[in-house]
Amino acid sequence: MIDEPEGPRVGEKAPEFLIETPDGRFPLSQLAAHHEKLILTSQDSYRYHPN
Amino acid sequence: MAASLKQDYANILKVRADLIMISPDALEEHRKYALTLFGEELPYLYVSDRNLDIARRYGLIRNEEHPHGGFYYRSLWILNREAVVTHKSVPWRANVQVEEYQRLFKLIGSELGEWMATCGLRQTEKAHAG
Repeated sequence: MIDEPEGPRVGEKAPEFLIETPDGRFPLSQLAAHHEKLILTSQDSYRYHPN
Repeated sequence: MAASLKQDYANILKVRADLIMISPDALEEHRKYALTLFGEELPYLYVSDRNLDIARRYGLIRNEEHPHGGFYYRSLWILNREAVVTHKSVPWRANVQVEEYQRLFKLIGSELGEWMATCGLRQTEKAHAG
């Protein structure tokens, strides 16, 4: 059985982390400010899920 | 999933959005995967979550191992300019359900993507190998 995932809800600010870009390292909120929408997607290791 | 997102990344940029992929793989593993499969690096930004810090804060860790292995949820989040979450799908079953994949493009107001099922990826692999 899989528990209901937690984490931020819709309407809440996304937790910060740093992102390496070709122009340097920026916090998530700074990147978001420069885009109409910022998409985050996660996946497990390619070892388990190669597609 | 990487093959589909690689192919449809231009649609994302067209609507002034951008994409960040997060996974527990090291950056070098991510690069090696892309070079092996596609012969080039993936175009979108990548964040290596080796210590699972992001996974913990975003609720991405499964309580039980996935049947194929691993504990990290596939997920989709859309943020606005204030970094506020406007959409979340955890888990995001876009690798097996085309509707889930297309939801991303509908939500950002983009042309629909060209979802590639696993079999499509295998064709890409064969083409690359050949």
